[in-house]
Amino acid sequence: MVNYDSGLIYWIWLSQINGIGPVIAKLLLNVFKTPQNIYKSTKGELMSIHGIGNVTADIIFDSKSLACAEEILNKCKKLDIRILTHEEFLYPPEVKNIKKSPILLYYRGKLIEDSMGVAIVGSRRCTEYGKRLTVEAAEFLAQNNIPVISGMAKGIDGYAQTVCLKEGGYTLAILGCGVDICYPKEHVDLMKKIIEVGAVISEYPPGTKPNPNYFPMRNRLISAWCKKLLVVEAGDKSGSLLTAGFAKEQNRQVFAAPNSIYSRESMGTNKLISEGAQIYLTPSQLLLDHMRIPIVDNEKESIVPLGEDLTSLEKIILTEMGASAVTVNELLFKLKGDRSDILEAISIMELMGRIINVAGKYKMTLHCPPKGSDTCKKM
Amino acid sequence: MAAVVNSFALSGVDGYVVKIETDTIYGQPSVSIVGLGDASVKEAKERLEAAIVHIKYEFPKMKIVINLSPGDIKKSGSHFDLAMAIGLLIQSKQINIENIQNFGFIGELSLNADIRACSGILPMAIEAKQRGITNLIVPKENIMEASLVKGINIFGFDKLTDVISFLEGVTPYSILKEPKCENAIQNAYLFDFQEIQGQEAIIEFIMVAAAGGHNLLMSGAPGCGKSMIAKRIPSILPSMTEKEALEVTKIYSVAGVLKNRGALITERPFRAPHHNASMNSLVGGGSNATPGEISLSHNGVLFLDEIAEFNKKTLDALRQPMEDNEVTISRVKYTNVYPASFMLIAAMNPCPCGYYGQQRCHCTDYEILKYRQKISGPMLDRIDIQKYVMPVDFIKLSDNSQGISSAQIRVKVEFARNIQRERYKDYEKVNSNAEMTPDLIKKFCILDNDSKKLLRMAFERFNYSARTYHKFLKVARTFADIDGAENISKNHMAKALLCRDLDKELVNMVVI
Repeated sequence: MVNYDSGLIYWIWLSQINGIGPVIAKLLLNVFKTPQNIYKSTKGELMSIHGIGNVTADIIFDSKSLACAEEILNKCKKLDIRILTHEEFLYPPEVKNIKKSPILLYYRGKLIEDSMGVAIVGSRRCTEYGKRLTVEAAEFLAQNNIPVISGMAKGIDGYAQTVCLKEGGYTLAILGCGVDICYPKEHVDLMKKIIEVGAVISEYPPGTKPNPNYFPMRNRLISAWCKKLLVVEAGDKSGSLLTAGFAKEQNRQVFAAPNSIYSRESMGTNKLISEGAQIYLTPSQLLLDHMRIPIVDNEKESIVPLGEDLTSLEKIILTEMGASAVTVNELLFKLKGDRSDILEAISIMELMGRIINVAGKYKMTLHCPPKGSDTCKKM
Repeated sequence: MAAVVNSFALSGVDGYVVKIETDTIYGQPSVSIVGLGDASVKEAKERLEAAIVHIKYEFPKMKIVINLSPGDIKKSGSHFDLAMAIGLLIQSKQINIENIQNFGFIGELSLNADIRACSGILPMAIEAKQRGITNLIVPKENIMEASLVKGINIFGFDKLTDVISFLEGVTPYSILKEPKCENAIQNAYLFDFQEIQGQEAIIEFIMVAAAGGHNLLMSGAPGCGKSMIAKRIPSILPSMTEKEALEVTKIYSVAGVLKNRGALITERPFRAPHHNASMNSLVGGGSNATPGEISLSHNGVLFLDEIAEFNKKTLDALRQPMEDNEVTISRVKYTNVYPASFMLIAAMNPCPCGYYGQQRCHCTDYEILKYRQKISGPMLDRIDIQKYVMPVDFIKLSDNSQGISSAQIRVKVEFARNIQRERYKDYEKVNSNAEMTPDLIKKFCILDNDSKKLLRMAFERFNYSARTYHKFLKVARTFADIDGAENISKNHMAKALLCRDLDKELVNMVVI
C-alpha cells in the first residue's frame, strides 16, 4: 500500500486549477514553498507577487474546493497509483529545469533514480525497415542499461518498449491519458509488463481519456525525459516531429533515421535531417556521454559464405534464390527437379537458419541464428 | 374398427413408421388429429376435406378422429395427408382395398387433390423396406429419390384419384418412364486441379491433407487463389462408396435441399457458408432441429473462407462435432443426431489488412497476433496443416504446361487412404492419420535418428508448443503413407516440418 503525504491533496489541487499552468504554479511555489500555503494565502498575498495579476489571483481564490482533488487522491489510493511531485528527488532535475514541466505526475510501477534515457519515437504505421531499426536500437539500449523512453503508442513506440523489456531493460512509458487507461487497447499486456519492470507516467489524473489535445503535452514530456531522441519513421505531419521540435527547444540531441526520399513514412525524418538533426547510422550513437564504451555491442555477426557443408541441391537452391525473396512455387518451377527432394532441402535449410520464411516467401539469411546453434550443424 | 394406414416420419436422418388410424364416430361433425402433430399436421384436415370433396367423394358428416401412432413422439410435416385421405376413404367404406398393411403412403395433398412432393423421402423409403412394407406410394416428383432403395415397389402418382383407382385395381400402374438408374458413382467434378498453375507447393500439402484427413488452414493475401484451390479439394478425395453416398443423400433429403428430387448424390459435398453464418445454421438447429452446414458437408469438405471473421462462439461450436464426427441437436420438441464427418478447409488473411509481407502492409505485430487469435486455440488444435498461399506471378510461371490433374492426385490419395484403412481396421473411431490418438502415434510413428534430429532442431528454432509435436508426427506419417513407406524417414519429416507456416512466424513477432 502506498503512503500518501497529507500535503499531496494540495499538490493535486494546485495542478488541477483551470488557468494555472506549470509556469505560474512554479512561481507561486517559489514564494510560498508548499501548495498548502498557497491554498491558505490571502488575495493580497497573491497579488503582491510579481507576475500574478488580479485575474490569476481571482482564479485561485475562486477555486478553493478540494472535492476534485480528494476524488483524484481516492482514485489513486484505490488503483495503487503513485504521485510524483516536483520537489521529489525521483523527478529528474533535467526535467525539472524545463520551464513547462508539470508540477505533478501520476505513475504506476517503479521509478529509478537515474531514469533519464534515450527516447525512441516514430510512426504508428511503420514499415518493416522502421521495425527492424527500432528493434536493433532498443536491443542495444537495453543491453547497455540505458532506459528506453517512449509513448507506448502503436508501431515504433510499442516495438521499442517491447524489445527493451524482452532484453531485460528499463523502460518508461509517458502517456497522454490517465495511467489507469490503456491506450491503445492492444498494449494491455505490454502496459502490465512495463508497470512490473519500469513505469507508466502521465501528467493527467487517473480516469482521463485519451484526447488528441493531450498528446503534444505528452510529447513534450517524452522529449524532456530523455538525453537523446531517436525519431525512426515520421510522416509529413507526424506527432514525432513535434517531439523532435520540443527536444530541440529543450536542448536534447535529436537523431533521425534516414530513408528513401520517396518513402511516405520517412518524409518527416528526412526533413528533420535537412533541418540539422543528426543522421542515425548505428545504435552506438545513442550511448550517453558518460559511457563512451558500450557494455554490449551487437555488431552484425559475420556473414557466412556459401558453406562447403551444403549438398549440391541446396547450393542450387541458394544460387537460384540470390538476394531476392522467392516463393516455393517459383523454386519448384525453376528447378524442375524432384518436388519431394526440393521441399526437403528447403525445410532443412530453414531449420539450419540458412533461409527464412517471411509471409510465405523464402530468402537467405545473412547470419547463422544464435538460437540452437549447436544443433545447427549439418546433419 | 378404425382403418390403419402406414406412413412415416423422421427422427434425425432416420425414418420411422407412423400408423395412421382413422375412425368415424357418431356425433357432432368434426375432425380432430391427435398424436402430437404440429400446425402443419393439424391443418391437414382442411386440405383433406377440400381434396376429398373435389374428387367427388363424400366427406363423412361424423366425428372423425385421426391418430398418428406412436402418439408420444412429436411429428411435423404435411406428408401424412395422403395416408389420412386413404384411411378416411377406407373407414367411410367409399373404397375397398385389400392388404392395405402392405402399403406405405407419403405425400401432401393440394386442395385440388394433387399430390405434392415432400422432403425426407429417402430415409422413409429405407425404413419402409426395413419394416417389410412392400409397396410404397410417393409423390411422382419424388419417385427418383425413392427408387434409390432397391427391393421395394415404388409407385409414383400426382393425383389422388389415380392412387385410388390403382389401389382398387381399376387401372394398373403404368410406368411412364423408367427412372434412370445411376448406380455407378461417377465423378463429374466441375473443377479440376489441372486448371491451377504455379501453385505446386500448396497442392502438395493439400494432397497430404486429403490423404490423411488433416484439416487445413490456408493463409494468403486477397485474390491469391485460396477459394479457387478449396473448391477443387472434393475432386481429389477418394470417390464415395455407395454407403457414403446414401448417407449424404439422406441428410440432404431430410434438410429438403436435395436437388432435382432424386438422383443419389455422388459428388462429395462442398459447403462454403458465409462468415456471418449463425451457430444454428452451421451446426444445425431451428425449431425442427434440422441439419446444419456441418452435416450437409458430411463426407465432404466444409470450407470456411475468412475464418477469422466468423463469430468466435460459432466457430467453437464446431469443436465437439469435429471430435465426435456427429452432432446432437436438442430442441424443446426434438433431439436429433446428425452425422458430421467433414474435412475442414479454412482460409484467412495473414493480417487485418490482408497484405502481410508486402510493402503496403502497415499492421503492427500486436494487431497481427490479435487477428490470428480470433481463432481459438482448441480450434487451431484441430487443424494440422497451416500453409501460406502465394499469389502467382503469371509472367514468371506460365509455360502452358498443365498442372497435375485431380485424377492423378486422387490416385495417390486413395493409395494412402487404403494403407490407413488397413492399419486402423481394428480401431474403432480411427479411420485416418489425423484421428490417431497419442497411443497410436507412439505405435505407428516411429522415427529414425535423422528425423528425430530434425524435429529437435525445429523445436529449438521455432519454440513450437508441445501439441504441435503430435501434429508433425501425424503429417509425417501421411507423407510416408503416400510414398508407401513403412517408417517415417528424414524426407517425410522434413516435409512435415513445413506445415506450420503461421506458427513459425511467432518467433519473429515483437510482442510481449
